[in-house]
Amino acid sequence: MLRIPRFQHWRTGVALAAAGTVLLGGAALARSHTLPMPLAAQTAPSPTAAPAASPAPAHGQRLATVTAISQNPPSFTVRQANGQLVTYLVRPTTVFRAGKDRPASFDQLKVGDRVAVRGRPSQDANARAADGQWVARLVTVRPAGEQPAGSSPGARAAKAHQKGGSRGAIQ
Amino acid sequence: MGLSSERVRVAHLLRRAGFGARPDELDAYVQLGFDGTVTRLIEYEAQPETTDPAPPEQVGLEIWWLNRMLRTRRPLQEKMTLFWHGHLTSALTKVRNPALMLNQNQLFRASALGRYEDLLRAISRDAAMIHWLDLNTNRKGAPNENYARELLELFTLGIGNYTEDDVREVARAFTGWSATPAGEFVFNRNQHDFGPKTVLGQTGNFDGDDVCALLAAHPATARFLTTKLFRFFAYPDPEPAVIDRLADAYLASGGSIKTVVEQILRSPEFVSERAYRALIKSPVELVVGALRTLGAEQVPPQVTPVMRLLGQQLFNPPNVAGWSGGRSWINPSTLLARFNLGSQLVAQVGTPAVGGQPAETLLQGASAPEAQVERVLDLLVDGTAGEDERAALVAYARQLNGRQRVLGLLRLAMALPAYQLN
Repeated sequence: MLRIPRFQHWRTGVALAAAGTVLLGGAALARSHTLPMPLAAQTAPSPTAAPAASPAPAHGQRLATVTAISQNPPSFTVRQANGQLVTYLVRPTTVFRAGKDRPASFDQLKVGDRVAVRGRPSQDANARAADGQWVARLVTVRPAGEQPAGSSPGARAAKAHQKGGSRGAIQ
Repeated sequence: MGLSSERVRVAHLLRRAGFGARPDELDAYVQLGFDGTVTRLIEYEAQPETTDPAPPEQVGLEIWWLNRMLRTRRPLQEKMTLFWHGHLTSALTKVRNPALMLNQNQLFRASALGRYEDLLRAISRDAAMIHWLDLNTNRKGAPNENYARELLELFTLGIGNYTEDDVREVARAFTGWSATPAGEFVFNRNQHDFGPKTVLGQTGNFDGDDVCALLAAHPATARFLTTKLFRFFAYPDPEPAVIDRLADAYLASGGSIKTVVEQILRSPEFVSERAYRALIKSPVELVVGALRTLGAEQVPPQVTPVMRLLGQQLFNPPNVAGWSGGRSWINPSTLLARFNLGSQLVAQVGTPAVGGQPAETLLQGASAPEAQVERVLDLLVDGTAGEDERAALVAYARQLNGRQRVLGLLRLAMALPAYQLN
């Protein structure tokens, strides 16, 4: 049988481990996230769905709010934090994801979703299609109403229960 | 004590060929006996498909897969999916497309015990793999050797069984193999080198499929792959005669992984003292095993950052060679984190986040400290524990009552060295 290091006083070790739970849990929570930037202040969605000619969009990693979606041609319009409206064409090569490890698709995109879009010409000289509109290459979505990881009531309750259980069980 | 009883042998089998058993599951498998359990595990298609409590779009790939491992009625299929994920590696950090990683995961699941040649052909067309190893930039006249090199070194023959010329020729065979970002395989005829190639001493107008056939049927692949499978299921340093036997079986069966895995599980080596508790649980095995033993119904999302601390993030192997495993899972900081994790999971069983019954129900029928200690040891470590460990647990239990005693015993037993071993 494989031998691994044994605690000489393993009960003491487990008590120390319990004390370390909060520290490790806090460090772990700090690392967990679904999108790289905090939510920007929300603005009301535009009542119009007609995309206008788009000036150069802001930095591709800031969150913007989807205000309109079109199927013909496949495209979506976002309102950026500075109020600017930008329309992105969707190609078969456009990649959608929700956070870092959840698959997503254009069909699942909804008005009100928060997105970070890569498609700026300074990042990719081919991003702009021949007709002058922007083409989305990578779209990271946070669906409307979804909270960042660790901020949901369920997550808070689970964390509170976890802390209470740890304090209660180890004497 | 070792593998002295049928129950212990079956529990050992379920840990190795799956992720451990729920208490009621173990009783049912013991009724089948060891051989019957192997048959049940191998012939998993007779069992119902796993139902997902939530899709990956909702909970993310890691939690989705951990939930499958927790709930599966096909544990060997999920264990083999994990094996392939660590052998034919791709990582989300570079692929950056969860949908492609999900497709690859499903490919591994569907091919879990199939023919290795079929899996090699399929993984060479897999969009996540194509992006991971730059096959989409492998073009006639300007071959990119990344995929060819890893195919020969890590996926089939192993180092020392091919030459640099073989790498170059294999790269030529795969020119023009590409995929769209959306995941569709594309063969670019204009970028493919249709000329003759010489691979491993054989010459022909080989394409990628031809190369996969050559590699899958090579004796070096037979030894390389069967050694890796044996180390995954049995123990780290197999005897050459054991590998000879398994490699012969692989070649005679046309590269059937099912044949090899079944031979491993039914081998005398698998149930030897040398195999018992010979492997250190990976973080995945630790988490899923604990949750299954405790009767949980779903995986809490908080485990994924802890698994990262322990050195294993599903869908993100650290490099193309996968996870080193073995003693690399244990160091002073990860050992403490492993104890913490067990402690947290014990507290969460029976809550909405995890489901199942409260932990106290696991010890129903045992009320005296000594009886509860024996029940906990039987549940977590096949009843194996030294006299000093037993005495310490009994002394601890005598100080507490009710739920506090049960939770405390479970936590302490999960900190036993034997519990960290598979």
